[in-house]
Amino acid sequence: MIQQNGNGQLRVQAPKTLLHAAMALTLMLFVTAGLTAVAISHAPAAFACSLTPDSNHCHSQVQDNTGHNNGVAGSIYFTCLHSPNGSDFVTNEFWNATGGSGAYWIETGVIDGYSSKTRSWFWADVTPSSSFNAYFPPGFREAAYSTYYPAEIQYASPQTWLIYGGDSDVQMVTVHDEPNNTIAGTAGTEFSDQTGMRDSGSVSELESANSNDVWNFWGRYGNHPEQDGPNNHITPSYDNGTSTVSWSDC
Amino acid sequence: MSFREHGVMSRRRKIATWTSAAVAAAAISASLLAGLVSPSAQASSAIPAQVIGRLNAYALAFARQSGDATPASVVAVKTTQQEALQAVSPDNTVPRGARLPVYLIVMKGKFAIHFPVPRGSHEPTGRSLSVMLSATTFQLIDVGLGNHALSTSLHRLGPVFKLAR
Repeated sequence: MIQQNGNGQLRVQAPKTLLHAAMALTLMLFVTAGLTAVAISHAPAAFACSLTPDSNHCHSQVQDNTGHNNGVAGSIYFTCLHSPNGSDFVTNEFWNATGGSGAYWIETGVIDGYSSKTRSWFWADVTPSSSFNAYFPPGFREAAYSTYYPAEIQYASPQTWLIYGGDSDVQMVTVHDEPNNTIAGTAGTEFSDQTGMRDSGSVSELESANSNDVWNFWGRYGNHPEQDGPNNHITPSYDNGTSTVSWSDC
Repeated sequence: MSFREHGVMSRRRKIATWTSAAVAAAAISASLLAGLVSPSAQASSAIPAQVIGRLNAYALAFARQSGDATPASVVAVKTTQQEALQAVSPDNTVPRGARLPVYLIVMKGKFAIHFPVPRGSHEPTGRSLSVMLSATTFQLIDVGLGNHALSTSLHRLGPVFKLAR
């Protein structure tokens, strides 16, 4: 609105209603910005472990840094292992990268969650020819709390690996077409969610077989414990004396 | 307390495995020569009508969970675990449950498996997804994903049912 004062000068004056509206809009913007900031800070999906993308899977683990191996073994143990829904997962397991700079690998252990499994034994692999396979051996009992379960991934002959484990430490599979350009064995827990998850356990007496199939405990070759993934709250620890990686979140 | 017979168990296992493999190979060879093995004859049977709907629901839920809610095709066959694994995962030999009756579902689409993988590895992706369920408990037994054709025609395993999409 344009007005003329007593000196004949013209000045622009905002109508009171317009001024009030502008003030109200500014206030709303401040409030909205504040609420958004609060919401983002409490949004677990953006800052927590999740199923997707795969880079958001959380790992709490220890790695054997002796290099090439002909096998990895250890005893799986947990006092709790629970994923609150059927699609997310939590595991107690070990892995062996068999080649292709991480493209090919074998893993075995106990899983809870994925497709509503309850403390189920599993193994999985990626091979050059058949890509991905995951298997849940039928006939085993649910893995029990506070019980030591030996398991092993063992090189048998060119392109052939054996996986042992289950409720009675038996051979679960012969894997063919799996290379042996191993990089390192790792052991620990992997999970895709943190809300309501329970996960305390260990993999003890960790061993690797060298190129002559002689098995040695990881000992001081167990690399420093690692935890990755968004806001991964499970901190693993490693004991050289017992070659054991452990973690606690019951 | 030691739970592992350090350095000995694995050697024992290796010997036992090779012995078992040799015995198994000999037995299979003998059976084949005698004409006694007819895998498809043992495996095939029709999927009960009341199971079709359940299989279909499971398949579509699994496909959705694996990143493709509308797979291009979904088929199922009833067979044995051994025959199913031979078709979808011939690189792996499992010693238990060979004759276990299973439902094998095979889907074509664009899938990604949200499964535990080693740190730094990418989740598996592929266009051919297979899911094996126990025919008695409906429990998931096996998941396979790749871009390769099946090593065995599903029709060889039994009547193939095309499930709704």
